[in-house]
Amino acid sequence: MGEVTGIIAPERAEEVVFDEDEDTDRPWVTIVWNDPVNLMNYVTYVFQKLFGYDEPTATKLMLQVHHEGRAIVSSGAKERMESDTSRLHAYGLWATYQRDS
Amino acid sequence: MTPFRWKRGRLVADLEPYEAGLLRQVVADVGGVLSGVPGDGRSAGGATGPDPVAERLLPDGHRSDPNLAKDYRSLTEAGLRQEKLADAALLLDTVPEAGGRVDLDESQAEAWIRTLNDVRLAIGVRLDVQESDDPMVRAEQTGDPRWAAYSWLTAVQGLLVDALNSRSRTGT
Repeated sequence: MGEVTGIIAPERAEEVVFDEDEDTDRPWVTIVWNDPVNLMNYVTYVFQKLFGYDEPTATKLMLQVHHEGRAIVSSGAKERMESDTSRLHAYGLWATYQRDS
Repeated sequence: MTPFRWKRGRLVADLEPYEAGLLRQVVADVGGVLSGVPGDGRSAGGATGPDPVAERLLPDGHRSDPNLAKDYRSLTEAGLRQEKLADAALLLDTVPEAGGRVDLDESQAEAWIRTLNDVRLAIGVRLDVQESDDPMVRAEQTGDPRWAAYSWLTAVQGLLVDALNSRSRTGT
């Protein structure tokens, strides 16, 4: 995949959604890791499909995975992060979940 | 193969006989790995341990906490395995054995892109594909036909994703 210059630091507010009724003390996050096989247009498509992100947000997250090696794609209760991780695994993306650090 | 195109709300493409054969073979291989059939996924020399292809298709859910990873696996692995096998079976059902017309509704096309991705991940593990690899150059350098297969599967998956995107953009 080609290099893209001039990527600005990602704004987390756009990609992390907190539910007010959940414990926001240290929420759990789902992380997608870079992988040499997964196609850029496929990863963007999956982010839109699974999380309802618009195309610019999904593309930004995909580029963050590609250039920085990882990106947080969702945030919230542990059970929801388990579910998000397994939905990403169903599409073959390399995902894990953990407590936000 | 003709690229996938929309026709009366369905995605259609035409496969050459050898393309249909290749697709059926690589998908059946991955189905074998997911069914837990031991054999060609293991490294040469009779090494034991889990098949690295199965490890990539059904990865750990957590990086550093083995208990969490174990919990995740016990919750999700059987379901994920079944979903992936169902996707692979659907692809085999929709590829004519002797080549010809592939005709998919949108949910079948979704199963196709997931399975094509699993197949590419499997070949990627076996060939140790790196981001810097040009599959066609590697095919020439190594003479290994899996590189050419990988390159073709990449094109098919990419075009099918584009086709699905073009529909969701226009909303037709």
